[in-house]
Amino acid sequence: MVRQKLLLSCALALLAAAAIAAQDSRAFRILVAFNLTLPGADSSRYAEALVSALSRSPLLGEIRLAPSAEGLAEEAGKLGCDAALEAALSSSDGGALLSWRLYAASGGYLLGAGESAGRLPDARSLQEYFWMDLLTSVESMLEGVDARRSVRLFIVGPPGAIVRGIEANPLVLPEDGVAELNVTAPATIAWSAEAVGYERRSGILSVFEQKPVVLHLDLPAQLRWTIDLGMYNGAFLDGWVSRRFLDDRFFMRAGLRQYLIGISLLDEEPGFDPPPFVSLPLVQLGMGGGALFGRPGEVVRYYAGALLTTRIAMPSGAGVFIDPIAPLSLEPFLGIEWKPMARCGLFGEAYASIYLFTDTELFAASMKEADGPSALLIYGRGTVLSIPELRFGARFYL
Amino acid sequence: MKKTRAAAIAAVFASALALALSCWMPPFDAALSTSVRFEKKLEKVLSIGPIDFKDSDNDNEYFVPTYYLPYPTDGYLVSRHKSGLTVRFVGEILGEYRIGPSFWSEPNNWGDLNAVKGLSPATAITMSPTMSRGVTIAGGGMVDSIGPTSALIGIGISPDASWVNQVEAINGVTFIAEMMPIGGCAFEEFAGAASRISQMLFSREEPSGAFRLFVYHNAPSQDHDGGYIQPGLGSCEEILYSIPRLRPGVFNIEYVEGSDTYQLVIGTRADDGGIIAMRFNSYHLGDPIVFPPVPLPFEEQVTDVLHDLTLVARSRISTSFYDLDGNRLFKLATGSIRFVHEYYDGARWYSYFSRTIAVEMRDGMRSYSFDVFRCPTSALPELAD
Repeated sequence: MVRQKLLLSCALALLAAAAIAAQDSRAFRILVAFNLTLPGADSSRYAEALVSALSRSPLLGEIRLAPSAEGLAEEAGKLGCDAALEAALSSSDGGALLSWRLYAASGGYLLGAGESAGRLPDARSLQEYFWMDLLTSVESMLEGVDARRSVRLFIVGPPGAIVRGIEANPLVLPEDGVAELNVTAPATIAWSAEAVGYERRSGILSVFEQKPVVLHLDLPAQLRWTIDLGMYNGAFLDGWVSRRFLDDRFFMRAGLRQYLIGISLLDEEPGFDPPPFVSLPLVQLGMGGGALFGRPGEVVRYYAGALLTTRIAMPSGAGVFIDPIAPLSLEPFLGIEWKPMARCGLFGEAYASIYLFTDTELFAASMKEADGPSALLIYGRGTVLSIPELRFGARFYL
Repeated sequence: MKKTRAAAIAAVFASALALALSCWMPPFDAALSTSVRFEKKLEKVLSIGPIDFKDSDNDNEYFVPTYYLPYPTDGYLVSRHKSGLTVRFVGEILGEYRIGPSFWSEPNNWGDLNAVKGLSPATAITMSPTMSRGVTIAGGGMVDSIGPTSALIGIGISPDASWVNQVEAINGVTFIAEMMPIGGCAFEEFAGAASRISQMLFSREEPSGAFRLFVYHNAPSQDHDGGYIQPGLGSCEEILYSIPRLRPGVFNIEYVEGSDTYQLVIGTRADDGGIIAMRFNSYHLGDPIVFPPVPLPFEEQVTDVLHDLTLVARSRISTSFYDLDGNRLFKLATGSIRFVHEYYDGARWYSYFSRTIAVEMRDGMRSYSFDVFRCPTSALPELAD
C-alpha cells in the first residue's frame, strides 16, 4: 500500500515537473511575504499593489503571496520558486519606511536587502511608483542568478524521512512522501537520509541536465534481528541473538556462551606441552538488553547494556545442573559496533561480571582449575566481581 | 572524531587479543561444583578451616580423617608428588587447628595410599588402635614403596600418641634386575589356629612381559602388630600371565570364597590407559596353588574396597561401585568429595568421605578447609541420581 502511494506520488511529481518545465524558463518564480505596520492601512490592498508592481517586471514570472514570512525561503523552495522576497512597510517620522530582503530558494541564502523612506503613498502612487526602489533593487539582485540553471528536484521516500546535505537545513519529507525543491545544476550533492523503521542510507546525487530530477531514497526496512558470533575473552566461542526495537535505539539479547571447547595459548614448559584446545563442561545461558547511542544506521555505534546469565554445568557422569557455586551472573557491558556492510559488521564489548549468590570460598577454590591468569577478582559477601572481560566477533543483520 | 572511533575500535580488539594470549579460563571446577550437590545427601561430621599454610607444589591433595572415631576431630593431609607422598597431621595443635610438618615422604610409585585388603567386621574392630590410627586405616597392610628394583613393605604407618613420626613394620625386598614391580598387598593369613601376615608382590618380567607373583610369609609365631615380617623370598613364585606395562597404582585384594583364596588385580595400561583386570586363585591355606587368571570386565581403575568386598573406583567426577565380577552396581556423582574409608561402630558400617578445599593466596600461601561426611554404607545405592 505504501509502495503504491509512493509510485503514485512519483508519477504526479513527474507530471508537475513536466508542466513547470513547459513554463518560461527565463522568468524567475518568486514567493512574496509582505508585512504592514501602518496604523489604519489595509494590508491586503498594499500586498496586491506590491504583487502588481512586481508582475510588471520582465524578469519575474510567477509571483506568489505567502501568508507570513516564517520559513519563507524554505517554503519558496518547496513551492518551486526561485527566490523569496520579504517586504515590510512601517511608519517612520511621519512618513513610511519600506524595507525588503531577497533570499535564494535553493539554499536559503540572502541575495540582498534594501530600504527606502518617503511619504505615505496615496492611492495613485501606490499603484504606480511607490514600489520603484524595491523593484529596481530586486531586479538588480536577480541579475546574478541564472534562472535557467535552477533544476527541479523531487525527493521520493518514506513520509517523515529526514534528508541531509541537499539544503542547508535537514529536509523532512511530507506525508505524501514527495518533496520538491530547486537545485542549481550542474551539481554533485552528497546526501544522507534516515527514517523511523528504515536503515540509514547515503549517496551522491549528480545533476547535469536542465530537466527535473527524481531522487528515490529507497531506504530499506530496518534490520531488526542480529546474530553475534563472538570470542569471549579471546578463548571461547559464543552466540547471541538480538532483537532491536524503538527505531534501532534499544535491543534485547539472548544467547549462549560455551566453554566446551576453547583455544589455549599457554606457553610450553619443560615437560609440559599444552594442548591447543581446552574444554570445560560448562555453558552459560543468558538474556538481557541495552540501548544504542548515536543515530540509527550510522556505521559506528556505541551501546551499553546488561545480561543476566546462569551457569549450566554438565560434568560427564554427573548430569546437567545449575552450578551451585556461582549460579547467576549479572554482566553490565559497553560495546562498539562497526558496520561497514549492510548485513555484517564487527563488534567489541567490555564486561564486568558480577557473580551473585556465590559461595566465595568455593569460587576461589575453583580458580585452581584455571591454567592461566584470570581477570581481576574482587570478593564481597556472596558476590564476586570479575573485571575486565572482553568479547569481540562478527555481527550479522537479518 | 574518526580517529577517536578508530582508536576505540582498535583498543577493544587489541585488549581482547591480549586477553586471548593470556589464556583466560572461567572460574569453574566441575568436580567442586558436583561435590556441592553431593554433600547435601551426606551427614557432615567434621569441618576444619580455613587454615593458612604454605606449600609450594602440591596440586593433588586429599584429607584422610582419623579412623577410630565416628566423629573424627582431626586427620591427615596427604599430598601426592611426582616422587611420592607427603603426609601431614591436621588437628588441634597448641589450641588451634594447624597443619603439621610432613612425617612421611618416601618415594612411592603407587602414588597413593589405599586399603588393600577387604576386612570382615570382626577383623576391623579387633585391630589394634595403633594400626587403625594409621593412614593405611582399614588395610591389614600395604606395599608402601615400589622402586625399579626393590620394594618396601609396610604393615602400617601410624604416628604414636605424641604424634612422633613412626612407621611400623617396613621390610625391604630386592628384585632381580629384569623384574619390574607393579603392585602388591599384605594380608592376614590363617594357618590353623595361628594367623600370620603375608605379603604378595606382583611383578612384570622385562622384556617378556611375563607376570610373576611373589608371596612372602612371616612365621606364625611372630606378632604382626608392630612386629617385623621376615620375608621368605621365592617361597611362592610362578609365572602366571603375560601383561603389558602398567601404570603405578595397581589395585589388588585377596579374598576368600569357600575354601579358595582369590587374588584380584586391576591395573591401567601405560600405553593407552586401558584397564586390565584379572582374578586368579592364588593361595589355599598356605599351599601355593596358582591357576590361570580370569579376565574381568572392569571399566575403571578400582581404588578402594568396602567391608562387603564391594569395589570402589574413584574418578575425578564420579565414584563407581563394582562387584567382584566387574559388574557396576551403581555410580555416584561425588565430584571432589572423595571416599576415604569405612567405619564400623559396632552395629553399622559407615562410609566416610572428605573434601579438601585449597584457595591460592599470595606468596605461595594456601588457605585450606577440610570437610568430612559420612553415610551408612548400606544407603549408598540410594544416593545415585
